[in-house]
Amino acid sequence: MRYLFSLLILLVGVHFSFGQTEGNSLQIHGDIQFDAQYYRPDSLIGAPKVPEKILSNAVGNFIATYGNFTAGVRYESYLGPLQGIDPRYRGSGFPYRFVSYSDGRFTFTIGNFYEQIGSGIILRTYEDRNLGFDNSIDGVRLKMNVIKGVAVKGFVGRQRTFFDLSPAIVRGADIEISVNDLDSAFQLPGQLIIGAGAVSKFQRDEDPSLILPENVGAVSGRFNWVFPSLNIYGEYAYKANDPSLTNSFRYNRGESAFLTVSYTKKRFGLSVSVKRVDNMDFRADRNAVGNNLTINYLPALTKQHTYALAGTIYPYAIQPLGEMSGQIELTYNLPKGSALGGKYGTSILVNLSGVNNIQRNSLNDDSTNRIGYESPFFGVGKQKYFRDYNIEISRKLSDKVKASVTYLHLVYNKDVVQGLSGFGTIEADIAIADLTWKVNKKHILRFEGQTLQTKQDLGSWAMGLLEYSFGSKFYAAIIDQYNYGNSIADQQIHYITGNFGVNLNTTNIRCSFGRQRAGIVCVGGVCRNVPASNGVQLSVTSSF
Amino acid sequence: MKSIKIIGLFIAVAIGFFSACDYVDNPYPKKRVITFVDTFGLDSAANLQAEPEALKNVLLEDYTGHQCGNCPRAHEDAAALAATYGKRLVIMGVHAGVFFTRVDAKYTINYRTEAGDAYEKEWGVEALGLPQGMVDRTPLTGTSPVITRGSWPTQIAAQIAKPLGATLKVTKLYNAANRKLNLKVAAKRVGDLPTNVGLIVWLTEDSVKSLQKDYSIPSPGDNIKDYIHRHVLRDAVNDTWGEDLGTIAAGAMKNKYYGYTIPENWNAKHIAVVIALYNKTDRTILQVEEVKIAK
Repeated sequence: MRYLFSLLILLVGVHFSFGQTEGNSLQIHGDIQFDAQYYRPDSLIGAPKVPEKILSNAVGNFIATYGNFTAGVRYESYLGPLQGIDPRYRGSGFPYRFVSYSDGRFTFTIGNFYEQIGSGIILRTYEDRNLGFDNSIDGVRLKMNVIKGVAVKGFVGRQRTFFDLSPAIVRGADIEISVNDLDSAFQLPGQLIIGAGAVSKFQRDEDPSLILPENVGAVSGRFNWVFPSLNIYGEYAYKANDPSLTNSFRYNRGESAFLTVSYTKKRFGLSVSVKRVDNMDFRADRNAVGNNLTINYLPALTKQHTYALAGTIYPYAIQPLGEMSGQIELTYNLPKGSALGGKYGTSILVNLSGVNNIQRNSLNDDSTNRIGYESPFFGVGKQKYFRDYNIEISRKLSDKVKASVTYLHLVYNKDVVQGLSGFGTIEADIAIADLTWKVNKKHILRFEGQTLQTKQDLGSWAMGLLEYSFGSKFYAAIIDQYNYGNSIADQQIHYITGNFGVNLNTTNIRCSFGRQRAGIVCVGGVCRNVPASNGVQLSVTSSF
Repeated sequence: MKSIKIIGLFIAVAIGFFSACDYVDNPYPKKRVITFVDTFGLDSAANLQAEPEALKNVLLEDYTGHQCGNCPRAHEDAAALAATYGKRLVIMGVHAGVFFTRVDAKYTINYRTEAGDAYEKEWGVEALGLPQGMVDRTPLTGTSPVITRGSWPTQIAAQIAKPLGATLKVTKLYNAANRKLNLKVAAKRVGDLPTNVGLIVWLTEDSVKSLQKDYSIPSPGDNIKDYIHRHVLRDAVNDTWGEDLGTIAAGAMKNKYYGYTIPENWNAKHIAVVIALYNKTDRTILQVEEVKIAK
């Protein structure tokens, strides 16, 4: 850390000494984000007493570039972490710092970095503050454009776990080839990009009762064939035996395959995706659970809804131990002036997705090989994990009014998706209406009405939102989520929140107050629970 | 074509180097137990061996860990008790659980054992915070036999005063050349015994040197570099919970034979066999003996 700071200072020094004559200039940019919440206990909604009363998360990124060099640090402070963020983040420090050199062909990074191989099914490190997630690698990375059309990269390091590093060392390499750029002999129809990657981790075997593989490797191959109207992406990954706490220390191999085909033409778009996942929970600590120390990321084949009732009550979380999933998405824009399309045209989006378990034939070998089961590659299990059938129709009604309506039918296996028992599979129907009225150039009113209908779990919900915006400078909104269908009369609660925000150039200040119900936040199929709370929340973001 | 060669070479090197894997076909550690035991040699040696003294001995299990900064205080207490009771107190250092036994760049030796972890889990020792101990696996009060070091003297005094139910005659033949250990245990009833008893045979290694955390040393140097770890439990020869001897009739004796290969990385001169006869119903220890294998 000390040395990286020294390097930063050195870069600043270089600027003042040589900046003018060399033609390079030092640029410093970054961003800060501060979130704080005042908590009031509220036994009715299950909001616990928070002894500190005020909790806060703060993050500041500072990045300096000078010529071919870039250096940066990120300060993080969780005093203590906001509720719903893993309490192991409690503390402050500089968990992310790096220096890199790049001359266009060659990039060398020391310190922390984020990396991804293919779609991430054997490696993806990233930060998502909404999830309280950061699995960056602290180590060394080299990237090189070997020849035209061929890029390679390799790295070694340990992953971040809160303010510490993983017990396992993670190593990896990747090659990506743009076949059409290689040689005139390889001129194919469309643009073909192929790639292959390998990742391995090393963690000591400290278990006296099992012989654990200390080196666990995973390899993947992928292709992306791009035509003007057609895009085909496929990837396959294989992981060696990786006994861990999440797979009950089974020694079976893991695999994942992913294929997506997208076709677009004029007003029509169609995307079909299928995916198989079997034993692909891959972590830099075999004893880690939850979202901690994941090495890979399995892309979600379910739609990520942004509307509150659709997105945070029954969202799907990827099951890395096994799932078969598929998604079809169709978009069609009815032309302007047509009988159905109306004066301004109408867009229709239909999205169907489904996830089941994989077929497993038990081997009953816990006392011998601990493989656990066999699973045929195309074997789809009978257990439904998730279904989401939804349609969204958007239409501009006049110069000033825009509307969209959405309907969803969800089938949600709460026991499997949330790792619980006794809740079973919930079926719910959700209807959403969204109306935006641009009163004039500066004043915009938006209304949302939503309802979730189910007789299971917490019963039905209704939600209303009224939002006013003054250009892009200011907005205020009031939201009521009402659990009117709860079978317990006392729990038929109105969760009323108000919020407002101000944009000042590159600074955004937001404040919200009221009751927030317990829910789940998911980003790309990775989720975290958000407990119920009552209080005032302040959020400030700024970039420079 | 040159580019194809470069790419092919890279893929081969990258996949070969970075996908390094250890494939494990049999996840369970190979048992060091020998099935062919020299019973004839053991019987002959036993006939020449004196009978054990008919005195009740006591087992003190000291649950510890090299990253447990307060544990050296318990080790000191155990050593003082050993000086008081001599051979009648058998001490076993059980490094168990996950927190205080962590192996890393500094604490490099893994002292955990399958048996130790099973005992820790059975009695929930680590959750109570180390150091903890058990004296003859007998509760001082209540139902849990886990007690803090302050209570060890009281419980040892109570247990050692109990009448003896059986003697354990231990005969050993150790071949230093091939590191094979042959054992015979003769459990002879000399007093009252429960109707169902079991026998556990452990191996301990004494005086193993490695780093130990010690909070009595001011931070940041709170480590003792060549700390001498005493009586470290290494393995259970006849499995974690031993074996069932059933009922031993008054005046009767039951013989058991065992064979074991001592691993190369254990110092055979410091290896001892600890044999315990216990009540199968409540798991309390009835008698215990300790014999060094290389003496």
